[in-house]
Amino acid sequence: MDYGQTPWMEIAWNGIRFMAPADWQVGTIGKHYLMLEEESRPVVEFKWGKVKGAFSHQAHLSRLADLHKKKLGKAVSECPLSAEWEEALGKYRATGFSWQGNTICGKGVILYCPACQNATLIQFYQRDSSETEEVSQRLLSSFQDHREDNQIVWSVFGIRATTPHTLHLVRHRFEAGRFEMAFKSKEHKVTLHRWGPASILLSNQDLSELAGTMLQHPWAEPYPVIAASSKAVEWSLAPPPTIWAYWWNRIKAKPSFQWFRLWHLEERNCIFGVEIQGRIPLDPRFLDRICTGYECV
Amino acid sequence: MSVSKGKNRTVQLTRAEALKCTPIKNTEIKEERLETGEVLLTYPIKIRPWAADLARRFGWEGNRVQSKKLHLDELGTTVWDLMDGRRSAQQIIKRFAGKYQLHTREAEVGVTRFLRILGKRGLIGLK
Repeated sequence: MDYGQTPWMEIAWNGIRFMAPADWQVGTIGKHYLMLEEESRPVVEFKWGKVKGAFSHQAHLSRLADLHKKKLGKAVSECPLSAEWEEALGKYRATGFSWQGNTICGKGVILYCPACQNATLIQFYQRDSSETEEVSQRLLSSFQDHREDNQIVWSVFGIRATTPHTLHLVRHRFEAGRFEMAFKSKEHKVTLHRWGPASILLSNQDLSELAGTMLQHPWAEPYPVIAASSKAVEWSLAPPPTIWAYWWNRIKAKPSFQWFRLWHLEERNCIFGVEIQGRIPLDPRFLDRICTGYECV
Repeated sequence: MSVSKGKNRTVQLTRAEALKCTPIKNTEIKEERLETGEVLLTYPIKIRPWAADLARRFGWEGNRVQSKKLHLDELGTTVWDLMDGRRSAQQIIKRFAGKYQLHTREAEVGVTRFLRILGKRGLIGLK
């Protein structure tokens, strides 16, 4: 495959970001794990996480070697990074490794970023090493594990969202027709939804009716509609601003302040939804920022 | 030489191999196009001999071959129409994803699940 001609796309998930050929699809996704596939075969794997205290490349490499030996029966050995990889990964402390199987070989790198204390394992599965050398170099040079603006980008399966770093991913679901990513911070619970195809879902109901069927809420009555148009609907629920209500909201189990917006992206044939819950009054700028950063790519 | 006893062995395909297969419709299926454009499939089901014998004892003298109906929705109808005996599962997925502007992986999950259901009911086979 000629990767020079293939368009590249951004993939971002839970802190890491990189560019990859558009033919490479996310095959497996976990909270801190990504496996990319090309024609249903694994091509690259990412595993990452925050490290508390000092980071030892040797310890991680020997742990990886044990894992490989147990699972695949292959020995992983440390190998020097090529000049191209070293240049691409200049800002990280990196250790290269490789392994050889009967039909497939692997080459990878363990990275540690001193700025954000994040350690990442990147492993390329190679059938023809000359073919993937160029693409791996380009991918690695685009790799980032943190941003300066304290925002986290999420870009997989054609959706892209930007969230503040205070929101942590608690749940994700990518099913045919329904995507969901749920986040939590001290103050808020945020859920991003995406439904499709909109032409089918909205064939005999409008957005408000769809919201009723898709979002399960404990209330029998719908929320008062603040803004509604053919393309977007929005609901909110806030208790009366009394002292008694203020204290009651802080101690009761269910969050009192609720808000959600649904909008129809006609040109992309999908419906986006943002649901936010909190114990304290919701800041409209926060709501707008979440919605503005949530888009189709 | 190994001889299998009784049960047929199922061939395990990898995902890549399965996507290259071409779904073929069962020729015994009756296909009816409804006013809505959706498809109603009528397919034969065979009653197991012991069940047929039991039914006969209770006075039922019907045919051993019965039929069932399956009403496909718009998405199911689209996939059904895309199965022309030449397109592979992969090609069907690409066309389906293009038509409804879905991500390829998302379309793959939906279409393969649907094909599996059709296969289990004996409505299609894979070539």
